[in-house]
Amino acid sequence: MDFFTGLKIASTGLSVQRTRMNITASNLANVETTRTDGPESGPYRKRSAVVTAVPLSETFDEVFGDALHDKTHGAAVSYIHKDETTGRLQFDPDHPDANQEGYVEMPNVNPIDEMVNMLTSQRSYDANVTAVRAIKGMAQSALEIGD
Amino acid sequence: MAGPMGLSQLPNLSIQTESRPGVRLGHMAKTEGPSGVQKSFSEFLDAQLEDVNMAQVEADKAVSAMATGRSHNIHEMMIALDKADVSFRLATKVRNKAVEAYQEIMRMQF
Repeated sequence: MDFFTGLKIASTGLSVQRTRMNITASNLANVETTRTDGPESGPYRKRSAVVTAVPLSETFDEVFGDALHDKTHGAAVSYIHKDETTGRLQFDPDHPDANQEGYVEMPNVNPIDEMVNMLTSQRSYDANVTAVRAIKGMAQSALEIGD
Repeated sequence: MAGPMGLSQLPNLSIQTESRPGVRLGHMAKTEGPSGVQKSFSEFLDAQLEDVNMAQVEADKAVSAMATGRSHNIHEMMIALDKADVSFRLATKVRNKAVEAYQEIMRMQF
């Protein structure tokens, strides 16, 4: 448990927030997507990240130490959830993806929700960067003790 | 820490640290590592320098991976650079302290 542990944890947080940002970008890009390639072929489905706390230990020594003492956890995206709820139906009989009644199923992406997710992941990313800076600052002021 | 202050404090220091395991100024040549194995100071220094060097090499790798497009993790590169930076600063501090101690001894008059 050296001071690099904090850096590693903050790094996992940064990775998670970046993945969340990618997912938000994907959802926003596909806000009007009515067909998808591959087996599903329906409209785009909203994706969201499921984040899990993972123990940071790598070596046997660290695992053993974690078992004895308090555990520190990094964060990781364990899987990307696909929201299967049906999207809004839009009346557009000329659309190639319209059904018999002339309705097109739009993706279940809500741009307002996505904007909120984007803001939270952006702020969380900033928070993790601040943590990295603080840890580095602590190490540097510790080194200044010797001056 | 030049002059009388450094020298006059030395006896005190050795008494204070005597009771703590690991740091024994009474036995200058050998210090106990975390594993309890007796290690000389130069061996310890060697191992630490190796660690600092590894941090530098890792930072180098991260930068070249970033530059060649193999990696897309800006933050991981920056953190690797930070690690290398802090480790190197620590190494320089240790070096400065060692040189200071050496000079202190060289200034001794008998």
